[in-house]
Amino acid sequence: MGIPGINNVSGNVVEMARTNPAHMDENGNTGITGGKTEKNFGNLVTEAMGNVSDQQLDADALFERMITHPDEVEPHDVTIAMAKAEMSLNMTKAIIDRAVKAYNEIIAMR
Amino acid sequence: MGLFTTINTAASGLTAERLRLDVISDNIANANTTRTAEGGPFRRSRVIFRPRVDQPYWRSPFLPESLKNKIGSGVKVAKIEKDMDTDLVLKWDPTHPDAIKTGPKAGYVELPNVNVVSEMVDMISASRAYEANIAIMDGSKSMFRKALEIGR
Repeated sequence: MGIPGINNVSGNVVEMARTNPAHMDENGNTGITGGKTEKNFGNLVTEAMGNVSDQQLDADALFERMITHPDEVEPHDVTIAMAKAEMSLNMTKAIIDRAVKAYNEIIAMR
Repeated sequence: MGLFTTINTAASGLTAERLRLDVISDNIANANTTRTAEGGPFRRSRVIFRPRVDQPYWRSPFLPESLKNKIGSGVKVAKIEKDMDTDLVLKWDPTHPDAIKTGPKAGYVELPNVNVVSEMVDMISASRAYEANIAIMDGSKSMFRKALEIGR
């Protein structure tokens, strides 16, 4: 069994992870798609709302757990979860407000 | 640095102070316990904290700047240990069932090394530290609120 020459190495011998999307993968493609965005605004809003809803459900679950098993839940964990959900909701609301404002500005252009 | 970094850091402080209060309450509850499973009277516990760091810790004089640890992410409990340094309190009480029977200390009872006054001081310190962490959290929230008002 001979040692393969260094010039005809083939296959994915060493598992290599690509950490920077701008680097090439094994097919020579970079992760940069020329400024095209895959998501439209509707998907973005839906996704953000989903995240906010998840956080509110987490806070709710924690709150219920505090009532049913008061020894297992720290009170500050519940209030922190609620504060985080509130902050996320405010953030999403602010972003949507700005986007709708921009849309209205464009509509009002004449 | 994310939206919730400060809050998570302060939350670790809150949990740590709660644990400290748990330990203090255990100490005070056992302030007169003369019999334990390990033998001898109860000994006060104390909590030892250490910083919580997400990155691995490298210790080398030749470390590049980028590998050095940045801001930590709060506090973590290293361990809860028994205080063996402080002396036990001796009290003259020959009729007590756990009194020392023989030797130069005969007739004395060994009481835990819990000083209720200093435990109360520790309790106040824990409560104030808890409040301080909550103040940090409020500060973070008001910064966030101000950030949302940018350009409105």
